[in-house]
Amino acid sequence: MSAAARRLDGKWIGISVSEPSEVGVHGGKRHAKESARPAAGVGIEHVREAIVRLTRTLLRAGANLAYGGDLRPDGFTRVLFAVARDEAQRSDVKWTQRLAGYLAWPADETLTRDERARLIHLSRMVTIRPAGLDKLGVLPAALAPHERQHWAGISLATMRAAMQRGGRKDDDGDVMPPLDARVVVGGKLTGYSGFMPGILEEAALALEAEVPLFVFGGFGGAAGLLGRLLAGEAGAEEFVHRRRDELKQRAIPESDAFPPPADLLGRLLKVAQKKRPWRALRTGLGEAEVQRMCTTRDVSAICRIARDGLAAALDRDGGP
Amino acid sequence: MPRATRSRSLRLHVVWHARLDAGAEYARSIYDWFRGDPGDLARCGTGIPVEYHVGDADGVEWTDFAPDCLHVVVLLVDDGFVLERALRAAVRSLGGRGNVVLVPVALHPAAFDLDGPMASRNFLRIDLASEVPGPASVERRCGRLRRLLTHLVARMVARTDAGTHAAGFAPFDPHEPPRKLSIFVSHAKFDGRDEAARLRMAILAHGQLDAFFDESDIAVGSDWERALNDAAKRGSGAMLVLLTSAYASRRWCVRELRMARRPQRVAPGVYSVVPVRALDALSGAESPLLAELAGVPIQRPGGGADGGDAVIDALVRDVVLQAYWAELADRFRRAHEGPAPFVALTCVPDARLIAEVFAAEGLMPSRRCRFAFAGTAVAEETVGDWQRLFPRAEFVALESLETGS
Repeated sequence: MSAAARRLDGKWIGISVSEPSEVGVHGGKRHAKESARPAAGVGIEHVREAIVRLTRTLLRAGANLAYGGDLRPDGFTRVLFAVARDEAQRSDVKWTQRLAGYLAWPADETLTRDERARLIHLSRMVTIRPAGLDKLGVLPAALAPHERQHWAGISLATMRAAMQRGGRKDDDGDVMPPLDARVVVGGKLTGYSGFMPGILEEAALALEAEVPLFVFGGFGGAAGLLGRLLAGEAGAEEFVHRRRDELKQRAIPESDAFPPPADLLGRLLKVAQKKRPWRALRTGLGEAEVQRMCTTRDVSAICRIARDGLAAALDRDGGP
Repeated sequence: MPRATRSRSLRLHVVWHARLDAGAEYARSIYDWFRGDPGDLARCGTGIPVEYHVGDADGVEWTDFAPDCLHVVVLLVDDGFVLERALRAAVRSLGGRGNVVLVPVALHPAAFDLDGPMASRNFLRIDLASEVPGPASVERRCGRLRRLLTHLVARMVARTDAGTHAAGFAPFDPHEPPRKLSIFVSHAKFDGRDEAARLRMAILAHGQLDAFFDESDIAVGSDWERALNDAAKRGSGAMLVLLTSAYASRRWCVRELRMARRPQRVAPGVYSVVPVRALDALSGAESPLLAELAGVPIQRPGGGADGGDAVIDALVRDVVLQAYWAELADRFRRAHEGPAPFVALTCVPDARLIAEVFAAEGLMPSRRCRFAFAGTAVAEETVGDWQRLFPRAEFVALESLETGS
């Protein structure tokens, strides 16, 4: 591959991709939920195609990818590993750990030694376990379900902040760099694991760190809501209500919803209320281009915008 | 009746009522087959785009029906669909558009009683009366739906004339139906005669296909070449190689294969080969690997009732995909800027095919050009090998041109 094609060489891009809440996996069969229609034209296969082609495009452009997630059999992390393995095999350049996986408690417990060994040339691994958990004096397995949910939320929030800001050591003891940019696609708006939808939390952290944030909202979900907020099509109320409803449904008092996400929520809302909210994304794209980025379902266009936009934005910023 | 305008692209839409439990399974089956299963990294996203539309009492939210594209709208008509007035009205709103083909699929007997644009259509029938409804029957129905739809779309690719431009896509005119897709069964008479005859029957049993082989259908030599060439130019030819132990040692077999794999110009700078698939019928005796089979998918017939049906289905789909890629390549060629010429081949190439395209375009191997090809799974080392033979060519997959990578 030509040097010109590897314009993202050495950059660390955080990638947040998951199925939007409107399409789901139920009982082994994928189908659109009746109660929440998927975005027009879209099913779970389209999101999966986007995951494969977007990660492939970024890897071929030379980027390193950081992601946070668990190792469930049908999840994004598995797809990412499969694409990375495939790319490593077809590449004539030696691959050395171009992925960084952040595993937050309790997902860190799902990584077996066998699996870690198999991933050694593909991915660095960073495990996050909140300090307070060990000070409780009880074994995590003995926690009541609501306590477990609470600590899992804290763990995810800590993990997302650590991924954005860098500074944590991976399992070889090397310090992880901060992210240069963040790309978000899809994402759950209901039934998520933390105190707020993970994609929104990660987007807010990118805004806080003032790194380029690429929002592909065409498939709906959390990225879709974020896209509509930026376009002025959704108000801050929808955003707040959705989160409040979800916390209520899961019996988590808002006061318990860990302070940082509340600040992050405020940051997102502040951006959404700006006169030109798209500027805060630091993508270097104009209003019309941002609008296309936030709404397109064309996977080829998503790949083009991500690759060329990231290269231009990071060239301009001079990288980390 | 005026000739239908041929569209430069193709898109499939699947429409179902929100209450149809198996709707998403039918849709996924069509998506995986035509667009490429996202779990199959070599095919993911390389084929024909498929969109989903779930309807209910609010109707259907259609996406943009681009005017330069032929839209094949597959309607999964169950009882919920029949009873939903808003959904029927949404479908009626598509009637009369020249670039929209409605393909209703009967999932309930009442489907045939619908009025409006669906009334005059031939329904795809995927039910067998003897079948007990259940998950297994949905899977079987998905298979039948894929097959019928593939045949239907293949007829939109094929045309009656052998033009010099990429075939494009058009709803077939019932007054001037295209010729059936012709599948040539290439085999060695020494040890493949019986199996070839059986395959021929299997192909004919598909209903929408013609099958021929050199023994009884066409004379050996130029007539055979012309028949295959004409079929290739019309976008209606494909070859099934019956790979027996004697096949590689038969001069005529190799010649047939070489003929089929000779790049044909389907648009300025754009080349296709006749889609070829091979059925593994090796007996265990030694057989050399033919260079002409490079890049040709080889598979074993499935057990039981399959009898080669899976490979026949895949071959018909290859015809459709080649036409889709030819249009895609032609679009990139027209958009191409710069002094170096743009050439494209609508399959995964090997050095011989690349050399033939260079020769057909009158390009010296040292000439600078942009060479596009179909397929995403080519190793960088392989591209490096091509680069050594054609040092100033820039090799790029069609998918990479789409994504700009």
